[in-house]
Amino acid sequence: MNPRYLLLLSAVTGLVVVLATLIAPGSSDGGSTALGGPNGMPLNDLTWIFVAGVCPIALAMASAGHGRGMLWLRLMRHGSRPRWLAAELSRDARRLVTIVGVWVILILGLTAIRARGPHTGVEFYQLCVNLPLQMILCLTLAFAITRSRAPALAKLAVAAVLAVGAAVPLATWPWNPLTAGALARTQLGFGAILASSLLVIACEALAITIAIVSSLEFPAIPSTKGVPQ
Amino acid sequence: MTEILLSDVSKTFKGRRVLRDVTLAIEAGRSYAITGPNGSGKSVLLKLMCKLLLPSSGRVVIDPKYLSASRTFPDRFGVSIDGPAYLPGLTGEDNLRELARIRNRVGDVEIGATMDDFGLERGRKTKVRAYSMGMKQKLSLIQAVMERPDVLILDEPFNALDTSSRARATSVLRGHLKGGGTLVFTSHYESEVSDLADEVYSIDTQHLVKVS
Repeated sequence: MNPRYLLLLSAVTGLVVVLATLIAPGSSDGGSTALGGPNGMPLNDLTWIFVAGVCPIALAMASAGHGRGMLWLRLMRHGSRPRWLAAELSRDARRLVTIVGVWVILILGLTAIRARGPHTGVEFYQLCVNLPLQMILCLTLAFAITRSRAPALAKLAVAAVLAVGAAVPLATWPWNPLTAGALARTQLGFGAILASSLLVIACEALAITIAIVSSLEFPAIPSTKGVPQ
Repeated sequence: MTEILLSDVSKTFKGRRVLRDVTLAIEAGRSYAITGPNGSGKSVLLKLMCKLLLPSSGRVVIDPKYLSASRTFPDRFGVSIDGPAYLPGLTGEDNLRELARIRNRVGDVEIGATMDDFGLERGRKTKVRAYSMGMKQKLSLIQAVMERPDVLILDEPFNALDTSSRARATSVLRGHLKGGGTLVFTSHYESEVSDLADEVYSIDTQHLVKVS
């Protein structure tokens, strides 16, 4: 997929979140917002799946496709496998930074628009800290897995991790990171918000590590002992 | 001066021997044609020459000016083997730019000029996925030639090309040789082989045999 389409996808994703936030039930309710309240919870999780799941997977698939294209020609030109790998990772990192950058700009725009409403502090936390971090982690996961030599298994693993990622907060709503963050902010202050964020990140990192270790034959670098053509 | 030296090279894949005791010295500024039936191991031999495959036994030595200690694959080699998979969602020109950016030795001007040489239209918006076999073949040749390499290693460079395109390709390769470049290619086209090659070899039952 062309990087321009990925940027477009990222922008569309952001707009979906903005619209979902604005039209979700409870968004005007002082006690519960679309992003933070129980009424808006399923929509929140659906948008989360879309943002943190669909976009990174599309990006990773594009990256993997790009990696496969002209593979030997690239290898020859780079001169060695480490240089080739470094160039691949560098390109992926640049794309990731670009897309996360677009996402952050959208978030800041949304936050500015919604600054007049209630609970902006929690939304700000959710949008600027939690979602981008989750997205980066999922991107990392998707990048690693789609480069594996067993793409079907890898895609299944990505889907499973994302499903678990969505199901856990649905099943344990009081412990949803946003709720935990909101409660912590109300009762304990921003130090506890940071702690809850770190906890979420640590859990996701663990899930990602397990997924990678269990499914990968990494990396998918061509072997110099290939087969005759 | 020897640029590539194969000494008693054999290659086996999962117990099936493809090449046996191949010895060949590729000298600078000369051209070599390798012929043989399909599946005889011509492409394998070319891959061995550019270190994309390692021999099961024997040695492949490449001039250190192309293969320094920090490199696994030789520099200043232009290679087209097995019709490489391009990025189907990009135009041919964009594919070439992607490759050119790696070494950063040529820009749009040189890419465009090489496209003209092979008769592949510049500025065309057609994605590679919609390319014909002949256009893909031209793209493969252009990427191999565009950076003005010293050594060209081409697998069936004339396949899928029409008569006029074959003449263009032959002319470009002749220019490469006139400029002191080295050429190793495989082909089934006798006219191009006799036209371009200083030495002709054939792979016969796993052995490389000099024909002329």
